[in-house]
Amino acid sequence: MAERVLTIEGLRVSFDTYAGEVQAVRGVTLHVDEGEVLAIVGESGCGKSVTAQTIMKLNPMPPARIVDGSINLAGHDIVHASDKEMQKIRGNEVAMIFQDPMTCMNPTTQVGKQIVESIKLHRHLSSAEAKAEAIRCLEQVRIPNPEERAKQYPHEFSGGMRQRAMIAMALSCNPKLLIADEPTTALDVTIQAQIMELLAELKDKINTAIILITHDLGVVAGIADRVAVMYAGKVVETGTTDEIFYEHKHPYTEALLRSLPSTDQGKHEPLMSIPGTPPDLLAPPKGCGFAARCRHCMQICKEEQPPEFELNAGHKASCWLLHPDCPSAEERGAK
Amino acid sequence: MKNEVLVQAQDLCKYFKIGGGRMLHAVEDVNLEIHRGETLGLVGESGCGKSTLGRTLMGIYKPTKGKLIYDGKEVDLTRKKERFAFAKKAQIIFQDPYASLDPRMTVGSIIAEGMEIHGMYDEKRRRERVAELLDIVGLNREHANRFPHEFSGGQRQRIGIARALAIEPEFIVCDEPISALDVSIQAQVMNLLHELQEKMGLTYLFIAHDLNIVKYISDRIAVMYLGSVVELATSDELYANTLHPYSKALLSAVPIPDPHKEAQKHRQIIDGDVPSPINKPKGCAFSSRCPLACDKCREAAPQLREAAPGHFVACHLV
Amino acid sequence: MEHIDKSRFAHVGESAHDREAIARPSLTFTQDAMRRLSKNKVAIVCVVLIVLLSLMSAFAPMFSPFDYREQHYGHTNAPMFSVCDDESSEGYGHMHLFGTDTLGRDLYTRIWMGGRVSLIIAVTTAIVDLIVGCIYGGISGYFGGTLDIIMMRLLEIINGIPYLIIVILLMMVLEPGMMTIIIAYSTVGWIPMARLVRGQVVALKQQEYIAAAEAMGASPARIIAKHLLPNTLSVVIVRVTLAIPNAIFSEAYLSYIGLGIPLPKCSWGSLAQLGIQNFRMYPWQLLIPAICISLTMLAFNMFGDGLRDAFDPKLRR
Repeated sequence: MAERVLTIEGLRVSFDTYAGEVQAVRGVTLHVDEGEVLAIVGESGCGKSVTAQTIMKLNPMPPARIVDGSINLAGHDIVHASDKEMQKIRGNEVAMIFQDPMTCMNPTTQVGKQIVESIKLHRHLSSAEAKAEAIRCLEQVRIPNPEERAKQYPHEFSGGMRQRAMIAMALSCNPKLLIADEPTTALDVTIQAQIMELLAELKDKINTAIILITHDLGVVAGIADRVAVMYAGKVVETGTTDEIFYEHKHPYTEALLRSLPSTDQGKHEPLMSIPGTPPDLLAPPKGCGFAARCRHCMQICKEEQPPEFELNAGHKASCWLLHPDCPSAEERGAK
Repeated sequence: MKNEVLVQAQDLCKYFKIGGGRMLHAVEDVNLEIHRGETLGLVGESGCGKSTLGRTLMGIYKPTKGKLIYDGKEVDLTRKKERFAFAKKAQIIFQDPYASLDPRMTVGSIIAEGMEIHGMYDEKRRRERVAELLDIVGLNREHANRFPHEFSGGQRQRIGIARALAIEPEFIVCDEPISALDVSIQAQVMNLLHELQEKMGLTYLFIAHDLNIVKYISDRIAVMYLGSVVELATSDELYANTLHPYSKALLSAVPIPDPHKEAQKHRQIIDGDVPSPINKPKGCAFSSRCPLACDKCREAAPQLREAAPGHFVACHLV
Repeated sequence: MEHIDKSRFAHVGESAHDREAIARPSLTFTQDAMRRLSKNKVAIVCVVLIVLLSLMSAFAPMFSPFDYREQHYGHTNAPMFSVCDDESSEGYGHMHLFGTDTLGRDLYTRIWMGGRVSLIIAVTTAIVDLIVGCIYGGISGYFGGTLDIIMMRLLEIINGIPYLIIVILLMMVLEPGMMTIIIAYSTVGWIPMARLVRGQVVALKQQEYIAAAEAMGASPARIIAKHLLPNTLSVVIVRVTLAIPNAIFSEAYLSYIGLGIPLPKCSWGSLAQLGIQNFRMYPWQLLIPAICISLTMLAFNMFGDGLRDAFDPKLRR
């Protein structure tokens, strides 16, 4: 039975802006176990990045504010942790890799030194041991000639290699959880394939839990064990990858999957698009966030937010269509 | 009608001067034809020159060598009048919806600007046309008085499309128009582009790196690598019968949003990184990463030739 | 699970208009900046001060019982708040608020007359700076290449000539006065503005909306005027508000060394120059113009700072 690494319950995060309170995350509940890959998918503005950053408390606390909820990371209570405690946790228990590795590495320090810095902060190794460890990390991510590469600067690395170096840095202290925030969005397709293969390999070798944040459903299909679909600050559906792709129940998940051109799609059939845009979280709608764009929208959807319905152990969705009292399509008057 | 050639590139080259007396060969000896009413997809990774080629084909860049032939006549972009007239026929939709709209202008002025420059219609008719265009792209008419920063990425991209359509061009280069957008918005914009093509008989050069999308919208696809076209075929043929080693690797690297298919796929991972167009290897540009490369490949650059009817490849080993 | 009435499940479907609606009120960039500026108390105080000084300079001499040239030989170097005892004057019985100078002229009226001169010179030169600088910088920045190199070298040559020499040469040719000072300052004052605008334009022309305008067939003049310059406006306006104190000080400096406004016309600088001669015994004659100069410069500087913060998009929200 794999150990549960991360549990998030009812997380609410808001940003205080000049225009008012933007409710970026409006009640998110998730969990990740050891050795599994949880993909969080959603479009821009759905709150997935904010959720991830809150796990590490990386967003500046004004204007961001944790309004409610709990985050339990390997036994640590993140919401109430002090800055000092967070410093010990970051890098050590949880690490993050970002979309653009160029802006996340210090351009004036050699790559090897940056990894050593991270190692020395959290593990009690001598300088020589730390250096050897850094080289071993670079090897682990398949960077050729790691001893030479360690002495180079970030700008001397190509995009794909920088991302590998980022992964090496993140894994240098054997964190229990690795958060990858759109790690391959900025990379070319062939390089993306390399990185995804690397992550899959590492997942098997070192048993780290991975949260993969992305909007690319192809990447999700390739590597994720479980998927959480987010929309307008909430998780609308969670389940295993197969359940989400083949047995999805939430209209947004359905719409998202149908808006992708499939390989056997007729060329001149229009793609199923989702008309409109996500709601402004400054004034989130009273009811379900997806109501205005949902073709199954019902009266109750506009009035009240749907609760989470459990379809089977692990597969959950928040939609009024799943309520036991919900009548069939004809009875509702739907087309 | 479908086979009439609208845009033709003949031995087209575009070089850029970069410091130190070096030249960046962004586009090298490209011979391409785009038929009226078709969508030609152009795919490749960063540094392959697809964006440069697209911009050269609609007049933003002047070709360094070779010819651009439009509707049977050669276009000489160095002449101001010709350049100006060409702008009315060929337009472009940009990738970045955040940078391609002037933040200081209202949406209405942005869309109307083309008409103003080319002296089309009078003030009143222009305003009507702006309203019509906003309708066509699926935005509200009141949006004409708002500013770009108030819109989402997808909406801004639609404003960009309205702007390109305003002067009634025949040929539109879509330079990665959906890469910066969310998946569900991508579908909206794709449908819109498709609808407009049918309604207005437009010809598209669709540049993208997402092969699933390109396959969906294109009639034919050209694959580029380091400034040259390595394969050109109809989209079905390209997928059914991929010939060039790079195309094979590219197609197999694209993740399919279907877990069962992903699990079954044999992925061909090519090692190494995309080389920079400044230091091109001698001979075939792909020889440094190609698993099948032989000495001949490293010596001489292969030419694009017809390997099957309508299917062109630039490879010695095919 | 709680039982829910079937009627609540009535089908509604998508709501077309709501989907594309924009919730927030439309705020142009300028409106947003003004809103932020209004929250900056220091900047507001400065604006009030500048307006006050301008109004006083415009209207105070009109309402003063004394004329700025009027000399009262019997009442020279009078202290502040002393009363006029010259029967032949209109101002008989009225108070000299700021006293009188060596020739018995009412300082209060002269200060505000001087204010007119100083402020007019400052604002005019700032406007000339703006226009010439924008055009020069815009053209140089947009076209780049050889033209840019030539224009910039020319700029540096002009900049290399000492400002004082130009002024003196002009003084020899033209009559000393407000116009001359404006011309003198304008020959070199536009240079920092041109540099600034050029720098901005060089950065901005990489933006895709410029490429879009070019693709439309827009002429360079149109692109510079309609796309590039408006987007440099925030930086330019800040520079203008900071150039004004520069101009005031320049004028004061020139007048101080005797190259400025000829008597009996006055500017704050010339008043300061006259005041220095009697500084030991009648300090207010120097202090008052000096305070006026300092306050104005300070006010414009701080307002300029406030404007820059208000216009900085990175400080939004």
